[in-house]
Amino acid sequence: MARITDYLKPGELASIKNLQLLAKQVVEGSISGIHRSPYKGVSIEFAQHRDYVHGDEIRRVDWKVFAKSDRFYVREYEEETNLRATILLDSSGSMGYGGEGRLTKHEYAVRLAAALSYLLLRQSDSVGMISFDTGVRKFIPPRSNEGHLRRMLEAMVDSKPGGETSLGRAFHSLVPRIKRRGLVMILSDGFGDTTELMKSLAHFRSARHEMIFFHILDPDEVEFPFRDWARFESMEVPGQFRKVDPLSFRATYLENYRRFEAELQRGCRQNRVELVGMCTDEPFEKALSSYMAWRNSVKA
Amino acid sequence: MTFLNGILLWGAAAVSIPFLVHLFNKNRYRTLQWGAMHLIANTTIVQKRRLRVENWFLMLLRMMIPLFLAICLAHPQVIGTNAWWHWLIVGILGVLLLVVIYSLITARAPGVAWLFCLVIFALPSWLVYQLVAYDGKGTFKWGDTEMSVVLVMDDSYSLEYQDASGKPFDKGRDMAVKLVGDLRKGSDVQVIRMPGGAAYSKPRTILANVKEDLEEMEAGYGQADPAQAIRAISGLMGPGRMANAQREVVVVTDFQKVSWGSNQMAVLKTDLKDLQSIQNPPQVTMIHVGQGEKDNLAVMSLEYPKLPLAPKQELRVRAFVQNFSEKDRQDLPVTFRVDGKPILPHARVAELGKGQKDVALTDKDELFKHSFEESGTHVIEVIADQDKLRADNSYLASIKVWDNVPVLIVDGEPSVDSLQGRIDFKGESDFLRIALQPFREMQFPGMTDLFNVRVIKATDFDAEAVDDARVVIMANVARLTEGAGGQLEALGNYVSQGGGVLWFMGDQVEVDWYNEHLVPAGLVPMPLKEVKDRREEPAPYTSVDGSRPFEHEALEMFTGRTTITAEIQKWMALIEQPDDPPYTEMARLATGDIFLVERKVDEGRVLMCTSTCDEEWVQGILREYYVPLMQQLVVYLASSVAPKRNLSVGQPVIAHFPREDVGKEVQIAFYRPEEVNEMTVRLQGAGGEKKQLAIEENGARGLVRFEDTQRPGLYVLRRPDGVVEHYVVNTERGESDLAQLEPSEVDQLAEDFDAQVVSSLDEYKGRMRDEQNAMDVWKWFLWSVLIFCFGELILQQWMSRGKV
Repeated sequence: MARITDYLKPGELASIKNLQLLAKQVVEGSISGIHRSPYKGVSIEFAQHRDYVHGDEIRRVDWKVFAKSDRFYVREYEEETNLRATILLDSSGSMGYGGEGRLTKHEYAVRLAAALSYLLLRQSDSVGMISFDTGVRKFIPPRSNEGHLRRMLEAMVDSKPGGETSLGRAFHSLVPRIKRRGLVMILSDGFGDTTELMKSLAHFRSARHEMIFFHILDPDEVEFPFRDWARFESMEVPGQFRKVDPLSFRATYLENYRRFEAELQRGCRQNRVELVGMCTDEPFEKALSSYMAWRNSVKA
Repeated sequence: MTFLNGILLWGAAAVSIPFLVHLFNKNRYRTLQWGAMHLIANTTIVQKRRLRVENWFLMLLRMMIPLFLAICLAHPQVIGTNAWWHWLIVGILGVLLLVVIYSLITARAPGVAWLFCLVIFALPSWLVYQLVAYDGKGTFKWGDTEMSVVLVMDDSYSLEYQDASGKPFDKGRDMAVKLVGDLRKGSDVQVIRMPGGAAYSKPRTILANVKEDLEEMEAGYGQADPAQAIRAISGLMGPGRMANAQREVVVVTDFQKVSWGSNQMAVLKTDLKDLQSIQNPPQVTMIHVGQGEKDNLAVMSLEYPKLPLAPKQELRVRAFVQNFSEKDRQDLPVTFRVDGKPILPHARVAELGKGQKDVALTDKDELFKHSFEESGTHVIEVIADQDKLRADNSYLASIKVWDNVPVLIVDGEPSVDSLQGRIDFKGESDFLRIALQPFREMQFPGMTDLFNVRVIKATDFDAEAVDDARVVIMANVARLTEGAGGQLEALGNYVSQGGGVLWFMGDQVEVDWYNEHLVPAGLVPMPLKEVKDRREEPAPYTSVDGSRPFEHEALEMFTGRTTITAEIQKWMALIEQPDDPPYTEMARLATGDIFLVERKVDEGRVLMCTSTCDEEWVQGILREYYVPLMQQLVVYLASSVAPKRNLSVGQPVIAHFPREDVGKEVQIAFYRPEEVNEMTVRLQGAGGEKKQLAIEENGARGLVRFEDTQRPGLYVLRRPDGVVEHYVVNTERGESDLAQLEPSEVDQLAEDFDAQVVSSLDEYKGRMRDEQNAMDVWKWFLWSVLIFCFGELILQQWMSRGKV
């Protein structure tokens, strides 16, 4: 049975507990008393009754029950469960790359997803997860109960990188399945057809989802530090390879990378997607902390 | 083009290394599983081509570096006019250039790449132009460029001719000094003395030192040997030596006929051909010094008996004087000196025509004669001092006067009288005793014998008896006692420590015992076979084979006048060893059997006569050969530890010493013939070139060997005990004939040598030649290597620009 400690060290757990994820969107705020809610006083879905205690608002007393039973009960509603977050975990073949002595991008993404899930569930938010490559591999709807984290972690463990990526096609198919608007967190290297990816992000945006794109890359993919002749074999398409002299090719590669990154940034900006670049040689909890700090500053 | 160190061209094989590394690296790559294929999938064709061009160009540069370096180290020189293969090089370079230009165009290379290629190709192109354009023309001037110069200095004594303008050698030497002084720094010089050989073990580049050495050089040596000098030059100018492109040989000589005449040139042809066939042969210049007619009178040789001489014995000396002048000479005074002191009466040569040789005689028509009072070595000298060339005006000889030499005769068949000192001709050794001490035995008044003979019977022979004997004679001894302290051991020790043993055979000799005990130790020269007897045959004796000259020095005097006329009836046949025999045969019998044989054993020597020393096996023993033969054999054995004292030029002075003198120093001094006087023969007073030499261990004795005897004159050696010994070096008198080549002969010689002949330094330096030997191009190859190295570095950096 998977446990959170399989993925996060005690130190990492402690640092996550201190994070305060503040939803950007006011409407779908967070834990009551901390987050403002546009749905204040409006019941959305009845959950249960409980005994009235001193201090409860008088208007929340269920007078019908009092008439029947001559006792005071207060009504509790489901909508007080806060943010609905969905983690989209890229499990395509390219996520299996890891430089020497480092985690693969997929392993890094899984740890990041685990951290996010723990954080969100601790705040009584609901969180779901979808792993995908060209299509959806596993879909776990958002929940906020105690056992949900375990289910999430088991799904992550089962998730192995492999297969071709088509982020755009996968995202298009996911939009109808995330019925209620909420926070969509994409953990991916973004490799593939960038134009199609941007279209799919626009699709998400049209469904009024808030989106964060954790762009996970290995340092090798950023710096291309190779020196000797190498045969680069595709991790997604069997049989596809290139023989390259890295020393002479490096300049071209870096140019290609800069172009790809710029395109991704422009697309995210246009679609109001929060793009967070992360490298697998960085402690991911630190990356998350820096993101949260940035998020807080935006909120302020 | 030629290469002075052609073997180093094999280093050019290193060009394959960059190529192999290139192929190896190209085929050896690692495989990476890679996600971001879309970032490398769009590599354009241009990128690929540029990559290929850069790599090939880098590889080309890397191949050029070892290639040009190997060529540089092989020391290339361009000689002669251009050849077809020069154009081949142009073709290859042109094709390379076209390939690079095409690659640059197709790769759309930037301007800087074009500039880079231009710089890289500029120097090799220029170099190739030089190779192609060089036609061997150009002006040459002494001192303009680094040169390799061989100075051949004729230092034979004919150049010591002193006239009003000085000695020819001094003039030639001054010219040589000036020439070396005017050489450009970086030149190398070797000096070859003719005779004498190379002055240095290898050519010198410190010109100041060469000048100093030249300034100290003197003539007075033996006969010039051009063939030896030419062979030395060929060796010096061979592959990889004296490597400057401009190579000069300057010969300073007087063109004496005796050295440079047609007879000598016939011998020189082969050596000259070798010299001219070497790559980049040197330019030869001959400086003619000492021109003009010269008169000369020379003492050509001394003749005197070679028999051993004892104190108070008279020595008669026959001195030959020759007139090399163009005119007749009369009444020439000739002086005789002993140990530097004039001996009266003086002699004269009454009349000596042009080219004639005659003997100097006193007024009583007698030869020079002298009796020495003391034993030891003495110097005699004959002087005819009537000309301007002093070197050949005297002739020296070292005479060894023997003191009494103790000789022990071990008589194997003695008579009672002979053991008591009387002679009854019944003892085995009676004849021998008379032969060795004739004056004493015949009671000649006032005459002294050289040898002091003692006779013992075989049973009395032991280590004590042999102790003071210089020579032991074993006459018909049957056998010796064996074991520790025995006679065999005593004889073995005596021989190994430098003693001499003379064996005579006889009917007492036990052949098997000799072969078993004496032969293995080398105490007899050869194994014995059997006794041969001719007495019953029609010709009852055989004789010593005198049909050919005796080559052994102990028998020299028996060639011609005094033959060994013994009639030998019985003799001991020996077992010969045809391959690599340890013995030296001295004389054979007419039958082909050996009569005299010797063998060197450690420091000693054993000699065997295969017949008897009395009339038992030999008839005619009282003939005139017997006394000198016995004396010569004994003297030879006694003096085998005393090497030659009258030497030719170049023969080493060798002196032996007792073992206890090893490590001690001896002094040896050289005196020119004109410096010899009463003082110098005693090694007293100033003058002379003195050297100290250490006595080195040589087996059971000490040894001094002095090799530097190129100069004729007197070499005086003082032994550690203070005794002075004299060695004389005489040269052939060919140099005394001062006749020089005729002008036409000099021209012919110059043609044979492909040389120019000048008579002064100004004439030499003034002759600007319109051709050079060769052009050195190694520096340009070195510059090319440097540029290639920089090019490689720049290209490498450029290709890895932005590298982590």
